[in-house]
Amino acid sequence: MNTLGAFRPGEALAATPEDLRVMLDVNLGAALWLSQAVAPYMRRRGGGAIVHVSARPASVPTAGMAAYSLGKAALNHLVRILDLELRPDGIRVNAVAPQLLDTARNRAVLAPEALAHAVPPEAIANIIAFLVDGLVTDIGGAIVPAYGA
Amino acid sequence: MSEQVAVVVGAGGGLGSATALVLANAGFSVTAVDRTEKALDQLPDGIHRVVGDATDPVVARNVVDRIATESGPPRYW
Repeated sequence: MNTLGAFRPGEALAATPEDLRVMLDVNLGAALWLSQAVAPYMRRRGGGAIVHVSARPASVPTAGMAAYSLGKAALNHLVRILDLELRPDGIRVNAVAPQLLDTARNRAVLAPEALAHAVPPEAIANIIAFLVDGLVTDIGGAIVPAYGA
Repeated sequence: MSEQVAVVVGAGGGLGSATALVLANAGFSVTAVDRTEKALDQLPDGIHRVVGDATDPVVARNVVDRIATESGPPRYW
């Protein structure tokens, strides 16, 4: 379960090479390197399940977070590519896409009204657990939205 | 008895730690990974810990290999 992620605000016209590099390295690169490393072990076991954590801006265009959105959008596509490439080996690859998490870090920097629809991390964790459940054998390449009410 | 080995990367964060706990409570043998040991201190005993920065492809591979050696090949990542 790859829950790694990093966020940098900023419009597209203000994005720097460093912004893009960091957003791609953390939000996409780690997912790719970890998937590369773990797949051979899962192949030898005859199967497995990988879950990455994406985000709503990956599929819903959102102003003010361009580099971040691009990193997560690329992650979504990676999940679908990995599913195609690894499904013949019995390895399912999926992602969950929250919008905003109700965490101590977010509560420290965001106004209460901004957190009105934040989802507790435990709710996302339960979706991740569902996606790796041995009973769920036919779901692959899914990006499960978890945006809150 | 075969154990279900699950690995959570980024387990020092709010979502990662919640995921590690949910899976541990569901009966998985969980290994938690994060960049620093301090980030993993909050996790309860019984959850294995490995320190490493997975944004580096070499480190990512080393982390996975170490987990496979110490805890068994992961089935859930």
